Order: sequence, then C-alpha cells, then structure tokens
Amino acid sequence: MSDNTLRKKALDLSSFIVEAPAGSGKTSLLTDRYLKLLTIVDTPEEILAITFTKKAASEMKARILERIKKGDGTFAKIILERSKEKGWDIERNLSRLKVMTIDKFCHQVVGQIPVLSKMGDKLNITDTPEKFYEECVKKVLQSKESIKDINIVFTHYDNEYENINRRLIAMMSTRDQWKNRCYKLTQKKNEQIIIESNAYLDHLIEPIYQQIKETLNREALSGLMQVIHYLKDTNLREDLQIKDKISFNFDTKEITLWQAITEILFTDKNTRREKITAREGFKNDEEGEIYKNKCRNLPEINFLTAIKDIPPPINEAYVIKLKSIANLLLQCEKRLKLLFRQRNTVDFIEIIEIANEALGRNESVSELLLSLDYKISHILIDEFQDTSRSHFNFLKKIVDGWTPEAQKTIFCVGDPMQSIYKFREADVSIFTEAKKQGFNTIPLETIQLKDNWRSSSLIVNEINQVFEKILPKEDSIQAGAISYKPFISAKKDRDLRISKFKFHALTFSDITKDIDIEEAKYVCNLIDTFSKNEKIAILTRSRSHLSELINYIRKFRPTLKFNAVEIDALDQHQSIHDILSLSYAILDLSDRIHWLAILRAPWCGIILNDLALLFQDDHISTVWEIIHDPNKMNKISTDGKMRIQRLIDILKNAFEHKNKIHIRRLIESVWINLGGELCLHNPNDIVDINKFFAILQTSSSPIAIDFELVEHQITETYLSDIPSAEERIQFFTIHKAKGLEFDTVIIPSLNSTTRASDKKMIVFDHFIKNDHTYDVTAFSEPENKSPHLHDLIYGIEKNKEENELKRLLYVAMTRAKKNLHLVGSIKFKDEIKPTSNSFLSMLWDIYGHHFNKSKSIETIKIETLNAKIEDFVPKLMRLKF
Amino acid sequence: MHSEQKPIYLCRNSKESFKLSQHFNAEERVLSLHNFIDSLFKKHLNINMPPRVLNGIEEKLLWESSIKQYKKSSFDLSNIDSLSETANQANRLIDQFNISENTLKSKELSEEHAFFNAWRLIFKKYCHDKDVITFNGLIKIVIEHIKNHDISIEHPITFVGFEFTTPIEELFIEACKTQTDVVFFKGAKIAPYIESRAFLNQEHECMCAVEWCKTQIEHDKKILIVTPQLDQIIDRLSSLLDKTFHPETFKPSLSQEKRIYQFSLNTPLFHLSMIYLNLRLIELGARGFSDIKDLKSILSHSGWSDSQEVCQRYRLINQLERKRRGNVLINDLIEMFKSEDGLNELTPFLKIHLDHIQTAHNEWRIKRNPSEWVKTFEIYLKNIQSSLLAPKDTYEESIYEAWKKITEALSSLDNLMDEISIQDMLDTLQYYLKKTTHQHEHQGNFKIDILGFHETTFETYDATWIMNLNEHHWPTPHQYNPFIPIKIQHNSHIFTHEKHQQHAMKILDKFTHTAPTVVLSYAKKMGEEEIFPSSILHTVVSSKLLEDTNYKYIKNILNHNVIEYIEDNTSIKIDAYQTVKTGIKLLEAQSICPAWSFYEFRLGAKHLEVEDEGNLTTRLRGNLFHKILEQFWAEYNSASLVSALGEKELSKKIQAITHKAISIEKKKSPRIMPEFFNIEEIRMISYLEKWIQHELKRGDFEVKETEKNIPVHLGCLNFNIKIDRIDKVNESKIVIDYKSGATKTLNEWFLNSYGELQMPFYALFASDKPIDAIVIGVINTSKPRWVGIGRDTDLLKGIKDVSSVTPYQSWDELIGFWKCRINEAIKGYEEGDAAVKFAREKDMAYCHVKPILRLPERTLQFEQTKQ
Repeated sequence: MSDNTLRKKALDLSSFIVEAPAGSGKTSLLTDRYLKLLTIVDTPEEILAITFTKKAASEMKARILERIKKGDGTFAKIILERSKEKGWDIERNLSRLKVMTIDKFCHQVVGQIPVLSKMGDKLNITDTPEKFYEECVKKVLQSKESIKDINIVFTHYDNEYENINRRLIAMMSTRDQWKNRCYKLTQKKNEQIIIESNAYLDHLIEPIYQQIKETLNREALSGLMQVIHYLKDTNLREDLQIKDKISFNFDTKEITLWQAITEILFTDKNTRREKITAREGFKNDEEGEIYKNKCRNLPEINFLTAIKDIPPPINEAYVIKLKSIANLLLQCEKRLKLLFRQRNTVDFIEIIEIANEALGRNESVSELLLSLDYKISHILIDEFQDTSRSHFNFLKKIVDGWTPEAQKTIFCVGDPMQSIYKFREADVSIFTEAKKQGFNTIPLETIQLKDNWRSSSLIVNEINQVFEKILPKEDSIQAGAISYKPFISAKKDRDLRISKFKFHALTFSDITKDIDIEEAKYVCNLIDTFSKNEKIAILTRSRSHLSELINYIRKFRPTLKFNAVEIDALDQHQSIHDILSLSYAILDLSDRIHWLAILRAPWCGIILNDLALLFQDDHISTVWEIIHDPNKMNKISTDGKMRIQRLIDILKNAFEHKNKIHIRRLIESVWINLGGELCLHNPNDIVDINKFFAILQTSSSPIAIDFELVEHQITETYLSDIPSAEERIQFFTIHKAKGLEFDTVIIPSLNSTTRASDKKMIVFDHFIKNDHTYDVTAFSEPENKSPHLHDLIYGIEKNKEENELKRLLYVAMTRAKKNLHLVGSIKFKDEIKPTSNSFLSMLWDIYGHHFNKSKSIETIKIETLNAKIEDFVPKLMRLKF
Repeated sequence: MHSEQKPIYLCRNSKESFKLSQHFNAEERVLSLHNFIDSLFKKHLNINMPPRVLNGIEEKLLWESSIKQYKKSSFDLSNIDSLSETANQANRLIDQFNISENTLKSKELSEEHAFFNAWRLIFKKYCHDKDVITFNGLIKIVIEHIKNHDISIEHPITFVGFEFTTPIEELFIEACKTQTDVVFFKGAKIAPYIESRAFLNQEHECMCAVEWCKTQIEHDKKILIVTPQLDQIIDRLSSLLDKTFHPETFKPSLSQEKRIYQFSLNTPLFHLSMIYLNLRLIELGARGFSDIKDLKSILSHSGWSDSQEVCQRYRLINQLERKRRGNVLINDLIEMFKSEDGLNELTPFLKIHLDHIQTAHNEWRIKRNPSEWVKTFEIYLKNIQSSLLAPKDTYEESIYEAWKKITEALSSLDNLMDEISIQDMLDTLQYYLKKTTHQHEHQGNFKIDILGFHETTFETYDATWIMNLNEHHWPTPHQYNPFIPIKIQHNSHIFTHEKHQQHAMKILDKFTHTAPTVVLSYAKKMGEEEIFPSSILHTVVSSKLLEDTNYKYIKNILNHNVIEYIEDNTSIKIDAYQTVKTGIKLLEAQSICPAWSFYEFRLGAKHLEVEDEGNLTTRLRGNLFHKILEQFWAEYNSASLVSALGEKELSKKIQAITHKAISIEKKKSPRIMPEFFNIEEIRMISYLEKWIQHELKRGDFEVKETEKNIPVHLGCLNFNIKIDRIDKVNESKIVIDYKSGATKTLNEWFLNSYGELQMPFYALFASDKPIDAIVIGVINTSKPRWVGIGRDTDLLKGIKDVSSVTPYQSWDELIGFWKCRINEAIKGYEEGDAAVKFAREKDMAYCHVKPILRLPERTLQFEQTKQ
C-alpha cells in the first residue's frame, strides 16, 4: 500500500500503531487524526494526546489550531460547525484541547485523588530530587533498624562509605525499575532465588553446550577429557577439580571446567592459542606434546569463548548479600516516600507511581476516571518509542476495560529507530511489544510508512546503505534491538544536483598535540564552503564535543555568528559567578574565598599588592574585620583604599538594613550599587542575570539561601539565545535536534566518546521458559572479579546502549535536507583505529578505508592559528574610578 | 421602601469596601457584607445574637483539627495543611450552592468523598460544641431573620461587585429586596481605544510594560497595570519599576521608601526577614534542634542576641560546619561553644542566649493555651534579645505592630482550642504568618496602580495595560474540588465551561473600561514552549495586533569606557619567614597555577576542611592504616624479625595491633556506629596480612624510620614533612609512602612537569644524604603492589628503572629535574607570582579558590584578544 493510502487508513476509527521513519510527517498525521476525532466526539476533552515534551505539546496545539482556524479541509469545516453548535469555542479556547505530557496528565489525576494518593492535593513536582535522595540514603545508613543489612553490604563493598552512599543515591533515580523486583526478591525463599538464577545461567550456557555437542564428536570430547586428566596429574593447574570425572555432563556445575578449557585453547584476545606451554599446565616433554596435539587438533570452536563471561553457579552466600542490598534499597525508597510526603513534593518517578498505585487499588479505573471528569475515548501517543515502562503501565490502566467495539481508540505513533532516551528510562521494546500484543486489551493494527519528505534522495540512499549495515537485522525485545527499515525519498530527483554527502576522514600524525582543535579548524573551513543562505546545524553526541569548536569560532572567527542551543549553562557566566560570590560573602563573613572573589570582581578590582598587604599576615580575622582595621588599610594604595571604602559603604548599608528586605532583593541591590550592570559584557547578559535572580528567589528563605540548590540550578539552566537572533549556524546536541531539520548537517567529533557512568549497584534480567518468567538479579562487585553475574547482565545492558547509540547517529543524519557531512579525526600511532564506543567505530566498516596514514591532515589546507589558552594570562578587569 | 434615604454600598469583603470608601472620599456609607450583617444584629437586640463567626483562618484551623481527629482512628495522611484548605473550600461551596446532605451522600463515589463527609461531621460537631458558625452559616441565619421580618433594613442597598453571585448570595439579595430597594453598582465605563500587543516572552512583556509606564508618567498620566499573574511577576515587575522610577530604593536603607506605584498584593508576614527569623528562633526553642543550615542562618543573623558579636559567632559556625551534618541539638551547640577556646570571652551574650533557648526547650514540653504560649514567646524573644521587640524605625515598628496583631489573634484562639502542644502552636503561628499580609503603608496619591485580576478598582485612569493575557493564565485553569463529586459540581453549576468563560470575560471587560487607552498584551513563548493568547482576547480586541517579538535590549547601561583592563599578575615579594602548615600542597598549587597558591596559601582563602564526624570516611580509614603499620614496624623493624614470627603469630600480632588502634578510634568517634568499625577491623586485618606477606617477598630490609618528622627550610618557607617510612636495603635508602585511597600512575606521581610534588619532595628531603629509591605502597587492596622509581630495580621488586620509563638517563638526572621543579615553585611563590595560568583544566579539580580566579572571564578575554 502506498503511504498516501496508509495515511488515509490511519484516520479510521480503530486502534493503530504507526511506525513512521524520520521525515515522514508523523506530527501532521497525528494532527490529522486529532482533527478527525474532533469531528466525532461529544466534547474535545474526550481526546487525550500525549506528547513527550511540553514543547511538542505546544507545537501540536499550534498545528491543530492553525488547521482549524484556516477552516479549509473537511475536518476543519465540520469542527468549526460543531464548535459553534456545541459551544466548544475550540478555535480559541485551547484549554479544551487535552494535549499534554504524560507527567502533566499524571499530576492532574493525582491532584484529584488527595486521599487515595495519600499525598494531599497541592503536590509539587521537583526536577531536582537529588537532595531528597541524599537525605533518605543518609538516614538509612545511620539507622539501627537496617544494621544487619548495612553490615553485609558494607562488608561486601569494602566498607567504603562514600562510594556506597553515592551509588545508593544513584539508584534512587531508577527506583521504578527495581522497586518491585527487589520487593519480590526479599519475599522469595533463598532456594528459589538460587534455582531461578541458575536456571538463567543454564539458559545462557545451553546454546554453548549445544554447539559443543554439535561440533565435537565423541572422539574429540574423549580426547579433551584425557587432556583434563593429564593436566590434573601434572598439578600445574589449580583450577581443575574433576575428581573421577569420565565424561562431560554439560550442566552449570561444569561451567568452571569449560572456562578452564577455554583458557587453555584461547588467548586473552579470544584467538586460538598457537603456542601451548607450561603456563597452560603442559609439561615440555613427549607426553606433554601428545596432549598439546590433542588440543591443536580440535576443530574450530570459537563460540566457546562466550563461556568466559558465564559466572559460576549462584549459591546461598550470594543470595544473602543480594537480599541485603535489596533490603537496603527498599529502606531508602521507603524513607524517600516519607520524605516526599513530609515536604509535599515528589519527583517524576513518584508521581507516576502514585498514579499507578492509586489507580491500581481501584477496581474500576474507568469509573474512577469518569468520576474525575475524564471521559477519555481516544488516546493519541506521540513519540511512542520513548515511552518508559511505568508510563506504559499507567496508560494501560487508563484504558483498562476498553473494548475494541466500544468506539474507543488508541493511536500510537513513533519511530523505534529514533528511540534515544534510554537514560530517561525510555524502553524501545515497548514499541515492539505493543505491536505484537496490543495495548492492554486493545489490539493495535500496524501501519508502516516509508516515504521521507525531508531529505534528498542522495542522502536517503546513503542513510539506507549505512544503517542497513550497522543496525541489527532483527528486532529483539531482550537486546533493545530495532532492525532497520529502509525509507524512500519522496523528493524529486532534481535534488540530486544540489545535494551532497561527504565523509571527511582526517588523519593526524602522532605529534599533533590536540586533534580537537585541528578538527575545529577544519570544520570552520568547511562551514565557509556553504552558501550564505543555507541553514547549517552542527550536531554532536554531547555538549562537551562542541566546546572546542565553539571556542575556536569565538576566538578566530568572531564574525561567524551562531546560536548554541542549550550548550552553555549559567555557570559559564562570569557575572553570575560574581553575584554568587557576593551572595556567599554577604551571608557568611568568614567565607574568605568569596570575600576575596568580590574584592577581585570588576566592581571592586583590588590589585594583588593591596590584597597581600591586607591579608597575608592574618588568616584568622574575617575580611570584613580586616578592611575595617585602619592600620592595615593605611598600608595599601590610595586607589585600593578608595575602592574598598566604597565597598564598605555599600555593604554596611546592606548589613544594617537587611531586615527590611528579602535576601534576593538585598543581593540585587548590592550588586546594582556596586556597578554590576556596568560590568556586563553583552546587553543580552541581563536576561541571564535575571534568570539567576529568579533562581535565587526560589532557592531562598527570607534570611538564607540554599546555595546547593542554586549551584545545581545554574548548571541546569542554559544561557539564553539572543532572542532576535536567527543565525544561520546552529549548534545542538543530537537529542536537542530531534524533530528539527536543516539544509546542511555537519556531524563532527565522530571519534569522540562520552564518559562511562558508574555501574549500577544491581541489575536485572529475565527469561521465559515454558511460559514461566525467571527473574534474575545481580549485584556489582567491589573489584573486577570476573566472570560475574552482574557483568554478564550489565553486558546485555551495554548492548542495548550500543544499539541506542546507533539510533542516535540515525537521528543526527536524518536531520539533513540537502547536505550531510560527517567528520572524523584519528591520530595515527602504530595503527589507525577508531575509539571504541564512538560513532566512528560503528561506521568503521563502511568509511574506515577513508582514513589513510599517508593522507594526513597536514596535506589538507587548514588555517593554522596557534594561540593557546594555556599560555594566556588574563588581565584584571575593573571599573574605572 | 426607603428611596429617599442614602444607600448603603455593600461590598463582598472589607478590602473592597475600603477601596470604595476611599473612592467616595468617605462621603458615602460603604460596608462589607460581614459588617453589614453585624450591624443588623446589633440594631435588633430583641433577637438572639448568632454564635461567634469564624474568620477564614479559624475556619481552616478547625478543619485541620477535624481531619487530625479523624486521622487518629484512620490511616496515615500527610499534608493535612493543604487537605484542610481544600476541605474548607469544599464546605464553603456546599453552603454557597445549597447542596443538600442527601445529594452529597447519594453521589459519594470515591474514598475522597467518603473521607470528606466523615471530616465534615466532626467539623460540624466542633462548631456546635464551641458555639461558633461559619460566615455562610451566618448568612443563612440572617436570611431567615430578614424573611421573617425579625430584622428590618432601613437603607436602600447598592450591591458592589456582585455581578456573579452564588445561590446563597442570591437568596440574601432576594431577602433584602423584600425590605428595601436594591440596586447593583455600575462603575464608570469609559469607551476605550484598545490596542493588543504580543511579545516574544514574559520578560519582554514586563520590560515593555515598564517602558510604557515611563512614557505615560512623563506625560503625567495616571495609569493602571492589571495581570492575572501578579503573584508570579511581582518581583520582576517591582524590580523593573524601581530601576526606572526609584533607583534610590536599591540602597537597602531606602528600600521601604515611598513609590509612585502601589501593588495590592502584599507580602505575607512569613516572608519578612524579621518575622521569619523570630519564627525560626521560636522553632529552635521548641524543637531543641535545628538543621545545620538553618542554624547557621540564625547564628549569623544580627537580629537577635548582641549584634556586635556577629563576626565572632563565625568561629562557632565554622566549627559546626566542619564537624556536624544534618540536625544539631542546642545542647550540642552549647557544648561546642564551651569547647571552643576563647569564645566565651568573645561572645558572652551568645552564651547567655543559647542557655535561654535550652531552658525554653526544657520548659515548653507541656501543653498550654494559645494565649499562654503567646506570653511565653514574648518573654522568650525578650530574653534572647530579639530586635523585633525593639524596633528602630517606622518600618520596624510597623512589623512589630503586625506581629502584635497576630499574637492577639492567636490569644483569642483560647475560645476555640484547648491547651495545645508547642508543635501545634508553632503550626498555627506559622499558618497565621503565611496568611496575614503586610504592606508598609504610605499615604498619598499613587501614579501607578498594579492589580491582580481578582481585585477591584473603582478609579478611572488615563491609560491601562492588561498583561499576561495568555491561555494558561486567563481564564485560570479550572480544577475541580476533589471532595465534592464532579457530577454535583456540574449539576449545581459550580463549574461549567460557559460560566467560567463568561466570568473571565466579565472581569477582563471591567478592566478594559478603566481608561480611554488600553493595551492588552501576551507573550508568545515560555522558554522553548510556544504559548497562546487567552481565548477571550478576541472578544475585546478589534485592532490589529502589534508584534514586538524582535525586542532588543537597549545597550544604554553598557558603556565599556568605564571599564579598564590592567596587568596585575604579580604581587609583592615575600619578605618574612613563613611556616607552611599544609605541607607540599602549596608548591603543587604554585606549580599548577600560581594564582591558586597565592590566594589559598598566602592570603589564607581556605576551603573549610570538613570532618564528617558521623561516618567512617576514607581519610579516617587511611589514617588508621598508617597508624597500625607504624606500630607494627616500630615493633618488628626488619624483614627477618617478621619472618621469624610464625604465620599464626604474625596474624595474631596484626589482629592485636589493629584491634587496639580501632578501639581507640571508636572511643574518639562516638558518632560513628560501632558496626562500621567492626567491619573495618576485619577488613583491615585481611589487607594488612596480605600487605605484610607482600613485603616479605622483598627479601631483606630494615625499617629505619616510621612517621618521621623532618623540618625543611627552603627560601622563606619552612616545611615540616612527615615520611611514612624509610627502609634500608643493604646500604641503600628507600622512602616508602603508603597510599590507601585511589592511586595515580607512576607518571603522575613522579614525572609530571606540574602538579604532584609530594614524592619528589620526599625524595629530596627525607634524608641528609640522597636516597636511592622512592616507592608508594598500595596497601588498601586485595592485590598489594609497589609503585616507585629508583636508582636500581633490585632495591625493591616492582619499582622502575629511571631510563626505562623517563626521558632522563640516570637517577641523579631525575633528582635534578625534581630539584628544579621545586625550586621554580618556591621562587614563583616567594616572588609573588599570582598569574591565572594553567595547562590543564583537570589539574584544577581540587582548587577551591576558583571563584577568585575568574575562569569564565579568562576564556572571554582570551577569545577577545586579537591575534
């Protein structure tokens, strides 16, 4: 079926899941469906559209409104008529369009059930819950109640308080994933856990054993057994405990034996060992040679290396530790809940949990929702691939009791290939699951669109070729894998002439100091080659990958104007640091660091000589006391005296009257009086200063400031774009660029990677056998003991992350309309190879041949400006008096 | 009827009646509904006086008590504060919309409704027992009396602001009509010229509104600003208005000066610094403990005790911050005070006042009547010398007056409440302070009035700006009351979309007729989000929309002629001897970034070194390891002596030394749970056994020194270093340093050209004669190892040979490199080099003086430097 026919079908009054690739016009399809539904519902509130972000919700509302207002098209006309007839006033009254994020919807539901939710009705949601996490973990670690578990956990983790504390805190942000599992775990008998965990290992080892049995005939196996007995007799290997074993049983108990065999046969790099020596336990004599030959004669059994990662069977001691960790986590979660209640504040995880719990306890959710005036008949979910498990559960509860016949519909739209929010608990397997199993009781018919209206056919073809190779061949719920579904360019062929794709392979010699700077220069030159009316986006995995390029442009190409969207946070702004220092100093006379900072700030500008004369001999008194000491002050320069006296006058006035005003206004007043505004670098800075004062306001009581919160907020709040700037060049992280399109896309830093995060304290997996689900949970080890169950499961998790990384690249490349440029840089050492876990490593098989040691970057003409910040010494900037 | 009489103007509340009265210049009789009903009862002494009417706060408190009462026998419910407010609101709606008990019962659908009905029964019983009624209850009674002609109304009534009425108000109006002429007030309706404007965001909208104000005021116009978002934008707006019209108010002493504008939205007392401080002081007395951060803000505040002592109080604060986490008992604070040398002499008043707080805590455990609590608080605040009770100017006097009014209101709660605990009293006090607002009154004419949408004005203006007309602000998003079934709320017309829209429209319409020129404005974006104009905007706007979405900030405040850039990277030389307490860190800092060591070590800008008294920290554990090893090697000072011990005996020895060291530390750290020490003991024994075994693999060696203190004099600087151990192997000396935490690489420890200098320093100064190897023992791991470098790898298995890992040909050459590095650092420090210059950002990770170094400005200056 053509896309056009499918799009028409998607407007039918039944439930669908639409798989739509990048650039296929998902949002317009969703809008069409929304409008269609508006022509049949009794009230607009019957349609609930869930979006992933507030921004997406507002954009969708705007689209709907625009379409209705235009009044063209059948739907719009009918809607306007119905609106008039039923008094909806929909063309103006947007509050009747229920287009919102899932968090907002949850919040609304919970607000209507203050008793059922046990949270009251004026619940605040915090997006900075870390302080709550810290507090609850701290309380648990100090409580006598948990001492037994603390004992076990601390012993296991080497009694490292700071480390355990940090990791428990980190676990709080994913508690929706482990809470139920941990609870179940603590309820299960130890034997049961052992059985299930070992069944899991069985399930992993089974295919390996199967392959062994298929590959090694009886003779080979018997030869191998002889080798083992020989090695046992030589006593050169301590790890072989075989007693009177005469044949292989292929069970979990045999894992260590097979691992020993693998070690003998394969090197650490998993290549077949060519030289078998005494290190493997073989004597250097004739007899030894016989058994070495037996090993050498074994057929190709490379699959055996997989057994290296399989841990030994789980035992009682392991389960005791596991349960203690689970108990401790549950204790922290319990404390956190209590804390949330006491403070009347929750995080996003909690709000969905409360909603799920409250709805779960109610027998008839639909009646409850009805009683809350939620007569929902149709749900539309955008970016369905980014739904988390708890969101999915919540939505399933909302549609509980719906039947396909009841004229109630669900419409999920998304592109699993663009699922890039795993770090926010998005679970792409939900998409696959919903496609197969439907949405609760509602089956979903799959619609798969193929047309891409955004990119030129040249780019579409390149993307198809790349991702067909690098994305998995098949979907896998277990591995978070999504197979590639090629798309078709719906654009005309004439685009080919003006469209371009290029892979830029930059090879640097070993002596190149900083290849990031070199690459920045190259990209700058590249930008110059594009036409002045083209919109260019530069996309990277992380903000830090852009910093070198941005710094380079600012320094060497100041005329090249650009917008960096959410790249620099407020904490990169000197004036904000200055006000922060001022706040610290005003609230703490003994804080010499910030007092000296305000003396060096431009509105004071005391020179180093004066500072030394004042403070070098007295490290005890407060700065305030010292600058009031005439003996000390008489030693310094006249200019210094005048500057300090001015500061004293302003601050004295503030201290004497601080009772009269709120702390935020006090700080603002002092800053203005000192001349803070005069010292700004850019007229636009005032916008960011105001943002900072707003943060100060919300983070302070009338007499104190919560500096931790302020410091956190300024790293999370981004410097404003110049409001009127519509710059041609824009810098984005790929996540931020999702949903956008540009004439030209440059993806630099292909060979860069991001910092690995701490390993989770516990990880989970499950497998299904004979319709029974076996859960398995593993805890991390303090040192790298391997193989270990945690590592094994973590490896699966890593695999999911790798798959997501590939999708991230897909999102980046599909933003391009006409031109797409990929830039990768490699430093040639002994060989040319990409950094592991980088985009380049994924693309290596396709574009790796472009990198060539003989064609180094030195042969490519680039500008060579070599000023380095390391050699730069800043001057003292200050107000003239 | 009494048409010849002057009418009474009847407003819904006293705030409106006050405004109208001002509008009429007190020439007309204006009453609030409550006062009017009061006056009716006073005039008719023959009828029974109704029970006392609860004011809003009392009504809410009684709901809170009702919920708490029910809670005792039910499940745990937190956040009673918000629940009782919502329940109170539900109760009012039931009365105002005449919803019958049967209707309520029959539609009871969810747990929320069942709970509310149960609470309501208790609330009613309370009212009955205390002989009090709600205001709606009073209206019901008066309606009956008017209808029955027990009460007569002599004056015609003009109802003001009753465009939208609740059923109970309608009944009242109908009853009044039976006795007198009733009309509805119609304010002046100016036909306006309306202009609508859209801005990029709310910030721009505010800035433009204030610029507009400036133009209007320059033309001597009287203007009005109205917004449905007053509470949200009040700070921003007042800041901008002050910058434009009253820059002098940014001088804190003039912060309360008269403005040309007035807000109707006053500040809750709770948000005033003076009140807030006193509430926290009472709370400290009540609880006997406080969170360390709150305690710091109290102790550093000059609004109590002797303000002359504030600077000295920081000694106590710093001690507190260094040692404690979380909550601190007042008792502990007093103990800490006593243990801090000289504090008693420096802050004699603080000591007395802390004792008062402690006494209060002990005495406040018994329940009392609210009025008794009020008296107690008064004495307490006097005892601790609260400045609230000794106002110094008119502003402080007005705050004190407001405080007194609150305490009077609290005293009157005796009628409503029995004896209550200090916690309940605190909650009540806090609630009153949150609900009671205050504005420092200024008389006279204001040029700009600023109102919220739920307020009224009876004035006319030359121009009006109605702002924040966005869809999500106005009409305000409706939320159903969760305690009344939504069906009832629909059926009773408490909420319908149409009514909601009409109501919102009417209010907007009212404000659009306050001036001949009216601007209506909204923003188009909120952050990244697109936002939309209010749905009712189209009903009043016909003119073309003016879009100001490209607003540019005017660069009037930026004049870089006032800025100078001067070279200032070197300070005066050091001319006196200094003892460096921080060891080699000074030189390392100097080597990484000269400004770092200048500020931290020369000027004493030290980061507060925190000692976490409650936890077995890495540092404490490291110290323990060092102590145990010191003791061990002091006793068995050679490989041969240790080897002579049998395995069991060695193990026993390690256990005994470890146990002793841990026991001493346990006693010294009572705040750490003993279990952590027990775990540590087992762990340490295991690692130490492994470590000693590892040492024994070295072959022969003699331990010559352990924890040796060595004074080093370099230029003006006197260092006092402590070497963990010096061993002798044959005739060679090896310096050994134990590391129990995270370790660095050999390169980082020994071969950096900046940063790490500890090992080179030890190598140079551990002994009079040159040493032959320097080694780090990585002890806190199951795989102990050596990381080191020396003249000869045979000295200790595991160390590296100079020429194989460094660019230097010999050990002596490496020593020369180290000497050079140390000399350079010493020289730089002594000569006052304080340049902000460093090679790698990561080396600055532990630099605590970064706020002084102005790093973002460094980048900016670098970018702006011409090439």
